[in-house]
Amino acid sequence: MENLNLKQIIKIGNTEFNKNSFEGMTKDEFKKLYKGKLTIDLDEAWKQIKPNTRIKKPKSKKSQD
Amino acid sequence: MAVLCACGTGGGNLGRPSCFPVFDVTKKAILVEYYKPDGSVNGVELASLTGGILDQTYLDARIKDVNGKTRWYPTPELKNITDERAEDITETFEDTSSVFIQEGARAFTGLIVKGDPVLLGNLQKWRCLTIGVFFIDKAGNLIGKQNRDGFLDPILLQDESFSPALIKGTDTAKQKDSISFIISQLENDANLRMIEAGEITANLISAGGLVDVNAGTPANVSVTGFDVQLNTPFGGVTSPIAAEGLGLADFEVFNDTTSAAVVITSVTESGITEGLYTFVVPTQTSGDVLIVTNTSVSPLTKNFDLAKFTVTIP
Repeated sequence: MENLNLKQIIKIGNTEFNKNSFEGMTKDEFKKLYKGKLTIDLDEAWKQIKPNTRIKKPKSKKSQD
Repeated sequence: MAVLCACGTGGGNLGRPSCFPVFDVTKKAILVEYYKPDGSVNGVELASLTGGILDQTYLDARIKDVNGKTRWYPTPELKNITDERAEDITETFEDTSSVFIQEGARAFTGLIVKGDPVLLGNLQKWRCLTIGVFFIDKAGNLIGKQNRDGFLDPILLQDESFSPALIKGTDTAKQKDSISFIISQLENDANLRMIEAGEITANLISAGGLVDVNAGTPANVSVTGFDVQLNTPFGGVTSPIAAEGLGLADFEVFNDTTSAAVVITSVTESGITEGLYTFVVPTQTSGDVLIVTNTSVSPLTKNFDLAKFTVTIP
């Protein structure tokens, strides 16, 4: 069984989330999963659970010439 | 316990230091299974105490041990303690003289004020076990026995002597549970020892045991979760006392169909219905059976002991 440590758990309102469970999940999937299950604002919850969702584009290397 | 005769060494010295501690009146008992699953006595290994101090970490590890067979089970406070040996057994002769045969049995009784049938039922579960007991006295000393080096061991009770009972309230008296037991004839009062209160930083005197938690029938079950009401067995049949304050780290889910651990995504405690929890898990397969238990990580973080329950995915 997985041993959760406190760093993996984020509490929002009355809900404790396992942050690792949201790897690869989209915001839409999150909202669909929790629709009607939480009293908290799902958009706000998503911001806290998955704050770094933007994928940075790799910088193009400038020519040395 | 048979009294050993020191024929080869003479009697024991009778001097005493000028200042030494003695036991105070018992305020609580800690019931334990006398033997651990490995067959050793379920005692306190003194070397395992950090700096020789029985601290809160050690106490929590014992009281909230996920393994019920090695766990400590402190009683609520005990009142009207009696802890006395019966008269010695002697053989009397025709000239009215007598000789000592053996000590009488040591019997213990105590009352738990506001003891109720639920607690009585849990006490009754001890009857057929091989029980050991530590005592906590009024001064906060932890009393056991020492007859092996490096350990304070629980005191062995006579098999089948443990007897709890419910004493109903009256016009002038509160409802109580009583407990009584006999100390094993294998024990010797001379072996009683203690960890002094001064060497205990844990809040021993107010330590409480775990509270049972039972699950209702899971509701709103889907492939990604379920709701479940978690109550203690205490309270009225229509107004059970809910188990509040549990969180993600207090549970584990196991898919019994696939024999695989299920990592819980989230647990929500209802803000409206006390003890109602919503579990969200990764998508499961219809027909799979999930088993929900306490965490297997010791010690438990809360004072609750969840009885495992199952959820069948629709």
